[in-house]
Amino acid sequence: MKLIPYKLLYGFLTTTALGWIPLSSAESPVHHMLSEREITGHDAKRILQAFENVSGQGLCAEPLRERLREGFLKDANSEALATAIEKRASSLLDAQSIIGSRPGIGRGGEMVPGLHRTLARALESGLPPDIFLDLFADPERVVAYREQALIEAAEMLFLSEVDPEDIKRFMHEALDRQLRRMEILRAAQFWIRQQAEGISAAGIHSRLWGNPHATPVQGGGMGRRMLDQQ
Amino acid sequence: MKQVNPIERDDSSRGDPLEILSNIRQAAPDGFTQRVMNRLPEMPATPRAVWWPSGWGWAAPALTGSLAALLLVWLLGAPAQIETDPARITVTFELHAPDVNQVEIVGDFTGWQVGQIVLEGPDPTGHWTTRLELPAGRYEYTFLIDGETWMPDPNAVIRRPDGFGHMNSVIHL
Repeated sequence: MKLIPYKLLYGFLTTTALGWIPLSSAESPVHHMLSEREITGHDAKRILQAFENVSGQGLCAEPLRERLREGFLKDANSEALATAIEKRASSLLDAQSIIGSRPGIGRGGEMVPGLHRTLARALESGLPPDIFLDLFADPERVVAYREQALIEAAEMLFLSEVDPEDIKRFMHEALDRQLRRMEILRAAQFWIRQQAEGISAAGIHSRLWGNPHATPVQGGGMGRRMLDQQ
Repeated sequence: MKQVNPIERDDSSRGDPLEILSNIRQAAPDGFTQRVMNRLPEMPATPRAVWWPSGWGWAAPALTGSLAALLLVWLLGAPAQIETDPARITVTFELHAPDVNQVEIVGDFTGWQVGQIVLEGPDPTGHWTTRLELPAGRYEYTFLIDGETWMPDPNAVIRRPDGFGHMNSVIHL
């Protein structure tokens, strides 16, 4: 019976300490940034909650701080700022979820900072997550250094209004042909230029990858030649 | 003539050789061993071999060895560091704005902070330029004209809404 007050006291102190740590380590600078800009109330709470969600998952909050600085720099109102921060936080968490759930992405599922950030940006731009879930499902096909370029190319194509299904096909072709980073990016740029000239997706696909019925090796050769001619 | 092998020689008539030998053996005189030992010159005691040297004589060679090891580690480590350093790509940003006083570039590579990269210019044709060396990757950026107007890079193919009512340019290196 005598131990109960000590246990209660111990529990109280532990909870207080654990609750205090993130506030001091991660959110204090954010509190400071928000109070300097006189952002209070509901929008401030949304922003702080987003930081807490990201830090709570063990993720680096720097992308959120960058977004905050960008918003401050552009004199964004508090509502737009909160929405932007929430969106970035959500994309960071979604990216972590994709990387964590797919054995084929990253190095054995480990968190690769650059890859995580790139994937988060792509998701933030509006790319459907299923593109990546499908693409990185097979660990045998994926090489870690190539993933980041594939994600960047996918985002590039998406922002250029290429259909998500065509993006998916593009990524599979690039993966099958074992293209290197610069080849992947150049292929995406080639697609965007061709699209701007009014060429259909099927036409670009054919020009870029050659015979759609070719084996990956034969097709890869054609794709490479096409890129080398640029 | 018959050759006789000494081993095969027949000594049976002379009795057991071991017994004969034990009979002719004479005991040493009393005190013989002690006298021999007393005449032997005294040898210095051999120190026990230990793994740690005594005194400070070992310090200089040990320090030299340590320095050599550090040098070796540094020499072996230096190329590895160069190999892991991501390749940097030189990229030139350019804006044609003949009638402005200042052009700045702000983006991922400045941590979205102003005052870090101001473009040089304008040249006689009204162009502002800056050259940056960046690691391969994706970068989002925008120009800031005269410290108040945001403008995406007209040369960049990819643009993205920034969520704050403006457009950012995106470049992949």
